[in-house]
Amino acid sequence: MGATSVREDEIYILTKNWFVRREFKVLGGQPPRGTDRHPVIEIKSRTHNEKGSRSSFKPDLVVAAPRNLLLVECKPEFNGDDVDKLLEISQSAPRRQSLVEEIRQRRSLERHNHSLAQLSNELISRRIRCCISYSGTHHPVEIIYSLVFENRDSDGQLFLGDSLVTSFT
Amino acid sequence: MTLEAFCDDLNEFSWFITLDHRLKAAEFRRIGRRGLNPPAVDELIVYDRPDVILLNAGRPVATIEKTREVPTGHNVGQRVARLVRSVELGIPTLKFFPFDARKHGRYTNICNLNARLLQAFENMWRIHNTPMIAVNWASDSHGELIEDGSADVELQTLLAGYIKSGFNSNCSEFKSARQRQLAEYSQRCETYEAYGNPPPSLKIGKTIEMLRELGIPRTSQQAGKLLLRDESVVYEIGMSEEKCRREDPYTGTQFIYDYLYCRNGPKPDNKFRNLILHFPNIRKEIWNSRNPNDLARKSSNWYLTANAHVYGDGWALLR
Repeated sequence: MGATSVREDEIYILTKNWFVRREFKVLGGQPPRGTDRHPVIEIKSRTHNEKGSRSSFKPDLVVAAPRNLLLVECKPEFNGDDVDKLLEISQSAPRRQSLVEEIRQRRSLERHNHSLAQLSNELISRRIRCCISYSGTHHPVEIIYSLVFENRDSDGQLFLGDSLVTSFT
Repeated sequence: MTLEAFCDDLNEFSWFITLDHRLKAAEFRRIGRRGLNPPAVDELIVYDRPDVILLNAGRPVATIEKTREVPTGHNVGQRVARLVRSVELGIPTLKFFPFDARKHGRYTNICNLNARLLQAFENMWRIHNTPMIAVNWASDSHGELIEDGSADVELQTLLAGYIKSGFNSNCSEFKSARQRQLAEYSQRCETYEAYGNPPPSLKIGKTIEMLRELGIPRTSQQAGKLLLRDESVVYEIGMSEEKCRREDPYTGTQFIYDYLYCRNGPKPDNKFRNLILHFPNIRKEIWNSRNPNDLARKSSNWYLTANAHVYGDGWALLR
């Protein structure tokens, strides 16, 4: 089973389960097709005020760790476009603010009794981290976390750059 | 019992098999392109692909659709065509969706189900003698959908009863759901009377007058076919030519209006009123190039049930 490539819906499930097993809270999720029980969280662009989803970014997963929020993009293989997309979001104060407002409006943290809910929007905004998740071999990326599954049967490993992260909070 | 669940997505399959312990034995099958599935599945996805198709011993026994969207306003018809196909084939069909939930964004508020959908489901059920059930995905006091799985209970009960009955579509759980569906419709019409009447995008009247209003000469042989029915329903669709290469939600909505105001039998010809789709902003030539009646394309859904299309500069009799 392990030799065949991992599909997009499989990597989504592997990734979500990896975080759930570590008791992180899934605040939002958008599977490649279909519907999850989690809401789709939309990060709007403040330069586009028109109605609709144009220029908005919908992370595959939004996960609350004890001290940080994680935006996750899942792909069967390493994808440089996902890195660019996440960097654009993480380096844009208005985008981060938009994400926090969306989470506040949905009461996502409050509904999970999560301690981050007690923080100000500004503080939450500073605790947004990004992660790409994929299967195959590790491609080190600075600033952004990488969750790598060797195959569909393996447990994933989390990296920041070259370094294996054994404890992420 | 040999169960298979055909799905587009492993995520939905993973959810589906949690709904009853017997479903855990179901084999996951990915819905392929038409022609690559068992004939019974191919038949079912002719209009569009539902989320889950459950087969027992190779025979479809249930279709399940799951969405987080509240079918409100003109979006009420989203996903309906695929469900109609299922009941046309006599397969019990369940749609799991929120009746009331919060819409997010700058203009956040609670959206409520367009209750006409419930009456349309009842009419589909009656006409095809096949269950068509709306199952509520409940929300909390803030209007956020409940995510911990407890909102699945009604769906679990329905499936448990249906499986236990040996997939009997007259099982008591489905009968109770039908009563609840009818009661829900009545209650929502009491709260908002407009749902008891046609929406503003519809006109119902004498066919002869409708033809005059639409500029169709009544003397032609084709118009004569429409005049065989005393009354007609005209559904006005305000799409522009630039944005007319689409189906959702209109091709689903046409079925809702068909079953609410026109149909009296299982075939599209079984109508007591004509159903006319009116596209006042689109020329016939543009329409035909963007939305041909090509069975390999989803645009063929525009031709499934209406009696005629009327464009900005012409019209076409469909049946």
